Amino acid sequence: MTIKILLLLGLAGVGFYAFRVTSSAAHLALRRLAGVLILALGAASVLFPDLTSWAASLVGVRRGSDLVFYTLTVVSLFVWASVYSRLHALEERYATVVQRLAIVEARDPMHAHTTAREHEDV
Amino acid sequence: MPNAAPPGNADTVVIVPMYNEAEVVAGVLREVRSRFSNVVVIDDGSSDGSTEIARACGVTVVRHSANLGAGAALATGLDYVLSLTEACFVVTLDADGQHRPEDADAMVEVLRQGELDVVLGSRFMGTHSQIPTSRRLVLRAGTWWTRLTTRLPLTDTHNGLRAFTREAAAKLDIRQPGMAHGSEVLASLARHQLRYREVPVEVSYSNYTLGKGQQGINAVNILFDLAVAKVRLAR
Repeated sequence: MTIKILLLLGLAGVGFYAFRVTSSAAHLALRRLAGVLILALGAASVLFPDLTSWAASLVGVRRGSDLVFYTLTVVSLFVWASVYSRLHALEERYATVVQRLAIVEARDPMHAHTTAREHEDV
Repeated sequence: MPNAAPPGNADTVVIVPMYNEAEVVAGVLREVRSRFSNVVVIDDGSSDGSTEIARACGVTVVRHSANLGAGAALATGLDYVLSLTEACFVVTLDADGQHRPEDADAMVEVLRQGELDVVLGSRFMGTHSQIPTSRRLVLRAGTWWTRLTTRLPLTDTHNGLRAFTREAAAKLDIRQPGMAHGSEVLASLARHQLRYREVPVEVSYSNYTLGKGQQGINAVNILFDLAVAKVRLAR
């Protein structure tokens, strides 16, 4: 029963996270810590195979490998949400640059002619 | 606000967002220039030679070095007009030949009366545009949706032929680079309670414009863009 609550909370968290601003220092620190934690947990479950079974029994899951699978799924979704969110932010910044460049070149056609010849359009 | 139309509609700038319209843009620009002396083409990274064609027509061409989307082109156009021109009125008109410059002329004339901020073109006010059924259905759905979300009782919510006063244009908030700009314009209209009117216009559906298709796909993407934007704003 516990596992259902945890999984639902996890999915809800992914939903919120997907649309958050993820470029702050706090988020970067959080992502780094999470990464280290996941690696540590992974190493621990390799070294102590009974660990996953024990943890599974704690939250009402039958097998340790099932718990690993559920955890992996939720973590993966968080990663996708993070990538999606940061990609969107990047696209916005990119568009702003292209738009500003367009205006600058329109204002100064002589300069625009030179730069267009020297560089490939991005 | 002047009441008489200056020659060549010199108090107006027509923004023509363009992406790969090499086949038709020369004709479109010629017709627009016959009525409007100030035309700005926003070239959204065209790769088929339309950039050179537009430049050869003698209009100002502002070029995105990469394709960003129709919304971004509109935003750049508005930015250009507001920061680099003295235009009293702004018109948006599609580069693919669907819109008639005489309709744009009439719309600006309405604005010159001084009682409105925005004039919107509508295909569904009893004009004879021959709209293919599938497209008409998608447009009807879009109209219903936008009426629901903006509470504006419009007959045509996704018509690219629009005219604004300079003050109204400055209040437009276009953030989506994609196809959702039509809805964003209307949302800005509602938010700032701009005075608007719809006028009947004729939109011509040639084989060229019909061949560009994808109305259903665009509708899905527009809905998603708008829904996601709402979620982001709620954060």
